[in-house]
Amino acid sequence: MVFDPYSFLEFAKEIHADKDYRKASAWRTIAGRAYYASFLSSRKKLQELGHSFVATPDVHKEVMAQVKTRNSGTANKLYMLRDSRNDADYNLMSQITSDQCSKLLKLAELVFQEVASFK
Amino acid sequence: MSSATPTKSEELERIPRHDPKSTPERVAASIVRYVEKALTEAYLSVTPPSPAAPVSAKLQALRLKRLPISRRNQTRKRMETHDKLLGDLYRMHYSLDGHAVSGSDITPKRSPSTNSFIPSWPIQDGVPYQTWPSTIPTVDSLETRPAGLKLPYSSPASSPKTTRVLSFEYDDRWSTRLRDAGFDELAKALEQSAREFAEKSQTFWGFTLVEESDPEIPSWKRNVLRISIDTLDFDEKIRLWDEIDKQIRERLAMAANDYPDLRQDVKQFSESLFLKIDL
Repeated sequence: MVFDPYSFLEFAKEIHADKDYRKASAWRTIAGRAYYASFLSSRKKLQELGHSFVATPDVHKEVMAQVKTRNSGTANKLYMLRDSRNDADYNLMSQITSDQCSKLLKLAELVFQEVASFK
Repeated sequence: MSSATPTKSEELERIPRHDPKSTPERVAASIVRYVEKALTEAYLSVTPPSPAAPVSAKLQALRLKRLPISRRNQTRKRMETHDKLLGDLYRMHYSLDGHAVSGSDITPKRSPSTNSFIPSWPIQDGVPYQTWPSTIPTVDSLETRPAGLKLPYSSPASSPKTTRVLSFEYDDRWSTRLRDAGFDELAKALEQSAREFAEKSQTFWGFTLVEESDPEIPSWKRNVLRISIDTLDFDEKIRLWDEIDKQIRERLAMAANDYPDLRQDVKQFSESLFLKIDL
């Protein structure tokens, strides 16, 4: 069975709502899952539209570029999610808050909606 | 000086007599505040000269290319000094006019407390609600301002008191690139379209153009226009974000048509450009 990228977003929302996980590691996990849910759904949609992507780290760049050719606003949102994910995974000094996560989750939802309309 | 008009030093000597219990430090602080207020008022009564119109600036740049190299360098240096002075005058005027915390004087960085690119934000009437470093502009704060100020490509559509664009900054890499005529045109198109959009809006804006790279793909360089706006509503921010992106990309496409030599540069720039908003 093929994994649905939206499951990552649902999981991120569950962590965000869970009172047992109100800590920095949870916020960082949410930022990561919000990006990967959006990235994977974008890649999946683009593949459905006939694009193929190589399995290298460059795939993130290529997906972003392809999204941009269709909707630069969506690419901005995806870029922002990646930037937040990079911050969450690499920058130990950054402050990632619950409030920021709720915005990232909304942003990811928007990416899902916008990407779904790609033709 | 007539006997009826006391000298400044005589006036200063009289001050402690008005309040004999004041400490010397308190008297000194009062004098400093008085001088700062007087200097600010005097400065604001003078309007700095307008920067050259884009067409004149372009003509000037073309004329410069025709000059012999020694004279060209000399003239360029003189123009840079003039531009820097003019920029300083505008910046100081703007700063003294109630925008001391606009972010224009600060190297953009995220605030640890808010994760915001700008540490504090003015409220609707342009008066800062937080103090950084002080709501009252001081001579000290102006003296410590970093060098390298760029002139705005377009004057604010309205007076500095009502402009919606509180700052438009370039990071060090971009400041260096702007010496190149091609990059200069790109940045001009970007800045002008962003400013035009912002001036028509109902909110305050701060912009910074930076180059960002990716920790996992270091060769992936992006030009990122970081945007801060004082709107709190998430949906409104998203709407403005999408709209300004559209306007900027349309303007860049127009620039590509206006300058065929730059078409490839504009294409590359547009592809690497992302807009990031401070949510």
